[in-house]
Amino acid sequence: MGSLSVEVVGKFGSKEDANKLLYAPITTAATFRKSRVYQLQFDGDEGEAKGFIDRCLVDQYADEVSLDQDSYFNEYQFYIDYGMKPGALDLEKEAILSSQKGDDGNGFKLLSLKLLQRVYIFSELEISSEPFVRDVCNPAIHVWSVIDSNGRKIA
Amino acid sequence: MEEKLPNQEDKKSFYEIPIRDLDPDGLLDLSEKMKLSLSVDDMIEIQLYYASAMRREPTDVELECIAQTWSEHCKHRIFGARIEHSSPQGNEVIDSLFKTFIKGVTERIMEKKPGFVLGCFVDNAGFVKLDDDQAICLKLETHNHPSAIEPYAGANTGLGGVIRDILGAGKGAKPIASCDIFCFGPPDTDAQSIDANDVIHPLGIMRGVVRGVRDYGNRMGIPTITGAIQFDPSFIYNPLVFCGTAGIIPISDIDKEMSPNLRVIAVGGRTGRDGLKGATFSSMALDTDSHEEDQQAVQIGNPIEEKKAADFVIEARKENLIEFITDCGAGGFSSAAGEMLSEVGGNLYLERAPLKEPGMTSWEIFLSESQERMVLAVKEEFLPRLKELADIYETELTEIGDSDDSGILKVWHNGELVCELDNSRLHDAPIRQLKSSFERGEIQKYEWSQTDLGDDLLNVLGDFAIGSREPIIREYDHEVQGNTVLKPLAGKSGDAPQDSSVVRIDGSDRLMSIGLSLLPEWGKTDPLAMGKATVDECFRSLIASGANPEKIALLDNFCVGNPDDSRELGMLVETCKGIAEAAEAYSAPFVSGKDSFYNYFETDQGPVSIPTTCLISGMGVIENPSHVTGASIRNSNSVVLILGTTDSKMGGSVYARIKEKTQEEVPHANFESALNDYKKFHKAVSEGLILSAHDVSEGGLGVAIAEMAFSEVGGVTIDLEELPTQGEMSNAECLFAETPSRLLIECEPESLGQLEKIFEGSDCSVIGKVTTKHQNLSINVGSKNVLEVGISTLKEKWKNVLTPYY
Amino acid sequence: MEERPNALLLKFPGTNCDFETARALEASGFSTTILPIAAFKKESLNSVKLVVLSSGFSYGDYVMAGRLAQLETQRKVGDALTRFRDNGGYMLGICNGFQILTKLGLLPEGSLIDNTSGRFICKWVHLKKNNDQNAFLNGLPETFELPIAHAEGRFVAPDGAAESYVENGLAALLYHDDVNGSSSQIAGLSDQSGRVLGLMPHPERFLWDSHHYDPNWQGDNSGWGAGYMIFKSIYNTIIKE
Repeated sequence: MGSLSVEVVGKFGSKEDANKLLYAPITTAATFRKSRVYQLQFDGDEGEAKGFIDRCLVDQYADEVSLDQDSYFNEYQFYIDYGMKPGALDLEKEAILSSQKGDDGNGFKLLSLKLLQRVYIFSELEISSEPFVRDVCNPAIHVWSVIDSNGRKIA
Repeated sequence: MEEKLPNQEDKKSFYEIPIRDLDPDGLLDLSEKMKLSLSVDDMIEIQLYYASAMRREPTDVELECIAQTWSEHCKHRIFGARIEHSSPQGNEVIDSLFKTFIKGVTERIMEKKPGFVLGCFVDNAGFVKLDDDQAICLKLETHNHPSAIEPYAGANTGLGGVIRDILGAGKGAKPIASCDIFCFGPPDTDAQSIDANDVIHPLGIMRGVVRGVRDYGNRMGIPTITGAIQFDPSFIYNPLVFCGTAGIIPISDIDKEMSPNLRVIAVGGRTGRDGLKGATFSSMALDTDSHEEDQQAVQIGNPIEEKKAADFVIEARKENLIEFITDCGAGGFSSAAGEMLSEVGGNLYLERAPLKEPGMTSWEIFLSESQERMVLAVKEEFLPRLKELADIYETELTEIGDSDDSGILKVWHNGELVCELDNSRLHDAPIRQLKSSFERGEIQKYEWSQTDLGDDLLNVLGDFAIGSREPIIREYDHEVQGNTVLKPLAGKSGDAPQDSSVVRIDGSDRLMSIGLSLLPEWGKTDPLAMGKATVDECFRSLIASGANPEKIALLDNFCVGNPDDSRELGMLVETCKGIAEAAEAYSAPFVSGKDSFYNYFETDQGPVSIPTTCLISGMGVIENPSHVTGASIRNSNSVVLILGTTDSKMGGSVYARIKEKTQEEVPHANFESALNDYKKFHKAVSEGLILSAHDVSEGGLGVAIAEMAFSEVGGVTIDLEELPTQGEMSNAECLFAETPSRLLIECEPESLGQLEKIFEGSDCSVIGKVTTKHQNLSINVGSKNVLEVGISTLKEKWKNVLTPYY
Repeated sequence: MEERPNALLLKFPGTNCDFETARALEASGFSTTILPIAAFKKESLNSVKLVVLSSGFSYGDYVMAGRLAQLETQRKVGDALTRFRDNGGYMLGICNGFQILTKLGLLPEGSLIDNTSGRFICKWVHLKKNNDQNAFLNGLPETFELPIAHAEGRFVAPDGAAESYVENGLAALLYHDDVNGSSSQIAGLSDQSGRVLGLMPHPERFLWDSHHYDPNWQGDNSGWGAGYMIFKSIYNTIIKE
C-alpha cells in the first residue's frame, strides 16, 4: 500500500486580510492564504497515483502542487488544518471517490482519501490561533489541528 | 420488572419495551431515557393503548414512531391545544388556534371564492389556481436550531427540505422559485456581550446561513428571488431561518390517492444514522449542551443528490408514472410510510432500504431523517420505466414496500415484524391544555421634535433594518430557469430594491408574484397590530407588483419562545387574532403554514426568548405580463402620488427604535378602506396608468421615496403639506411613521385625470414630482424646504450597510 | 418549410439551465434534444449540427468547476466531440459549459477559477464583441448586456496568452468592466476553428426584453433580447452552410 500527501495552492491567489475569516475583528495586522491538502492511500503504482492527482485534483494552469511533507508556505505564525469529522458528509471527497470508481485500473486503486483545508496566518507579530479556530472551524462538523511557526502541533 | 433498552453490544435490531406495568414516574423516566420528548399524559395514553387495545408491550420502533408522530414539530400540538386566554378584552377559551384563526378563516373564504384554492393544509404545500391548466403552490419551513449550531449546514438542509416538500406536493410539483427570511443578531454585536459558550457570533451565523442557502439553491437551479432579514439582539442566541419554495403543477396532478397493490419505492439519497432525532430535537429549547450533545442532529445537504432525484420525479410525473409521492422529512420513513399506508395499510421492509452504514437498528432505519430522499407509490407495471429513468438521471431507486387493504401499517426487518400500528389510533395525541395571558405594556406619546431630518433619513437608511441586501442577493442565482421578470433589484444600475418578485410561468400568460412580511419589532408592543400589519404588508407588496387582489393566498409561519410561559403564548394568541382578522377582511385564504416553538436559549444570565415572530408570505396571480410593476422611478418628468393616509403613531417604527422611544402606540391597519384602495390601484395597473409603485413600510415615507429614487432617473421633490394625514403631524412623523396600507405611485402627468377618477373617495394625493432640475431628494412643507440631500448621498449610505460585514 | 437543424444539449447530474437553454434554442429555430450523459451513445451525435453544454453545477463542481464533468465526458464520449467539431459541427458552452469545454481542451489553453472577490456573482454586465466574424456573435451589436451568475469565472492562462487571445480574436467576447478578475476581461473564448464558443454570461436568460433587469414595466416587453441573437446567429450560420 502506498500513500501520498499533496498540497495544492492557487497560483493566482494572494495574501488577504485575516479579518475576513473572523466574526469579531482583531487589531493585529495579519493576512491569510488557503490551500487544499489531499492525503491518499492506494494500491499499486505511485506514478499512476501521481497521474490521478494531476488528472483529477489539480488545475494545470491555475495550481501549484507540492508533494513534500513540508508546508508550502513558510514564515507563518501558524496554520490550521481542518476537515470534515467522521460521519459528516464531505461532498468533495464523495464526488472524487464516485468519479474515480470508473477509473480504477492500470494497477492503481484508491483505498482512502482524506481532504483537509489549510489556512495559513501570517503576521509580523505573535498572534493567537484561538479566534481563528473558533470562527473557521465548527465542532459540529469539523476536526482540526493547529501547527505553530516551529512546526509544533499546538491544538 | 426488567427494563431493557437497546444498546450497541446486543445484536438484536429491535426490542420489546415493557410499559404496561410502569407508574407515571416510570413512564416519564422512560420517555427521558429514550429521548422521546413525550409528557406523562402522552405516555399514559400510549400505555392505555397497549394495555387495552393491543394487549401486548410496544416495540422500541413503535414507541419511537409514536414519539415522532406526536412531536410538536410534526403534530403542532400547541396550535391544536385548548387555550384559556386572558387579555384586556376579557377571558376566553380558544379551542385550537389553528381551527379558530387559520383553518376557519380559510374555509369561509373558500366558500366565497370557489375554485381558487385547490388544496390546503393536507398536502405538502397549499395550491391555488393559476389558469385553467396549472396551479401554483408555496411552502415555507423553519430550520432554526440546526442553523444555530451549524449555520451553513442548517440553512442548506433547511432549503433542501422545503424543496422536497414541493417535489412531494401533489404528484410532484416543479420547484420554480425560492425565498429566504432570516432573523439574526446585529452583525456588529460585541463578542464579549454574548453570555454563553459556544454560541456562534451573529456575523458567523449570517455568513454561514447565506452561504448554505446559496450553495443549495444555486446548485438545485432554483432561483432565490426574494427574502428579508431582521436584525435584533434578541435573535443572537436563537437565530431564525425560514426557507420557502414555490412550485408549479398541472391541476390534474394535484390529487393523489393511495390504493392497494401499489409498490412503494424510495428514490434519492441513502439512509444513515446522520438523520436521527431531528424532529424531537427541534421541539426542545437550545442550551449550551445542545451544541455538544446533539451534533449528530446537524446534517450536511447534498444538492446534487437532490437535483438528480428532482429531475427523476418531474420526468416520472410528466409520464404519469406516479400514484402517490411524499418527501422523507421529519420522521423519515415512519412519517412517509405513515402518510401513504395509514389509510389503506401495507408493508415496509427495512432491510431493503439502501444504507449509508451497516448495523443500523430497525428504529434507526425507520426514523432516520437522512436528506434527499423521496418516497413514491407506483403501479407495478411502471417499475421498469421508472428504473430506466433512475438510471438516466443517476439516482438510486429501491422498492421498499407495498400497499394492501388491511388498514394496518406493518414494518418488517429481516423477516420479523418490528412495528404494527393500527393507524387510526396512531395520531390521537392527547389535546394539550394551556393558559395564556396578554397585557398591554405602558403606552407613551412622545414629542417628535424637529430634528435635522436629513441626518435622520441618512441614519434610518443606514440602519441594519433598512440597508441594501445587495451583497447577499448577488450571491444567489436569482435568474436561473430564465423566468424571473421582476427581480429583487432593478433600476438603471440594477441595484434598487423591489417589493415582491415575479416569475413568469412557462405555458401560461399569467405570472406568479411572491411577497412577504415580518415585523417582530411591532409585536414587542402590540402583537395584534403586528398580525394585522404583516398580512397587510404582504398583501400590499403583492398588489404593488401587479397581482390581482382577488387572487392572493397567504402562508403563516410562526416562531415563538417558550409556549409554557403564559405571556409568550399570549403574544401568539394576539398575533393569530390579528392575522385572522386581516386575512378575512382581504379574503386572502391561508393555504399552508408552520410553527416553531422553544426558540429560547438558557444563557448564563437566564433564558432569552425571541420576540414572537410571525412571517406572512403570499403568492399572487398576475393576470398579464403588462401588469408587472416595479418599485423604481421610470421617468424624469413624472408625478408621485400617495395612496392611503398617514397617522402619527410611531410605535414599532425603525425611527422610534433608533431614537430609543419605543413605548408609543403601534398603528392598526384599517382594512375596509385599504382593500378598496388596493382594488382601485389594481384597476389603474390594468389600465396601464401606473409607471411604478412601492409599498410604504419599514422606515416610512422617507425611506420609501428614497428607495424609489434609487433608480437614478432624476431628482424628486415632495411637499408634505399635500400628504393626507390623520390630524396635525410633525415632519418627522410624516416621514418616518410606518402606518400600514400606503402605496407610493409614480405616473405620467397626463394620467392624473384618469387616476383621480379611479381613486375618487380615497385618501390619494399628488405629493411630488420627478425632475431633471436637480438630483436630490427635496422635501418641502409648502414653500419651506425641510430636507435636501443628494440621492447619490442617500444611496451611498444605504448601499454600504452590510458591505463591511458580508 | 422552415429548416430546423438539430441541437443536442448534453446534461450532467447538476446541470440546471437545460430547460431554458433548450427553450432559447427552440425559439431561434433549432430542434433540440436534452440528453443526460448516462444515456449518451455513439450515434447520439448523428445528424446533430450544434452541441450545447448548458450551465449548472455538473457533479456539484466539486474539486473545481467542470473537472468531474470533463472526466466523465472523456470516459463516456471519448474524442467524439473533437471529431464532431473537426467534421464541421458547432459547440456552445455556457457558464459551466464553458468551464467544461475548457477542461476538455476544446478551447485555448487556460482555466476558469474563483472570482477575485471569492464570491458567487449574479448580476448583469456590459459586454463588447471582439470578433465580428464569430459564428455565434455575428448578429449582435458591438456592445450589449447579459447576466452572469458564477463563482468561478475568472479566466487565467499561461503568461501572455490572454493578451494574445484578445489580439487574435479568439477572445471573442470581453467584459466592459472588471467584474470577476478575468485576465484581459475575457468573457468568452472561441477555438481556432471558430466553431466552438465558450462564454460565462447567460444568453438564455435574455431571450425577451422582459428579461431585462430594468424594463419599461408598462410597455411592450415581448421583443427579442441580446441573448436570443446569439442563438439566432449560430442558427443563421448553420442553415447557410
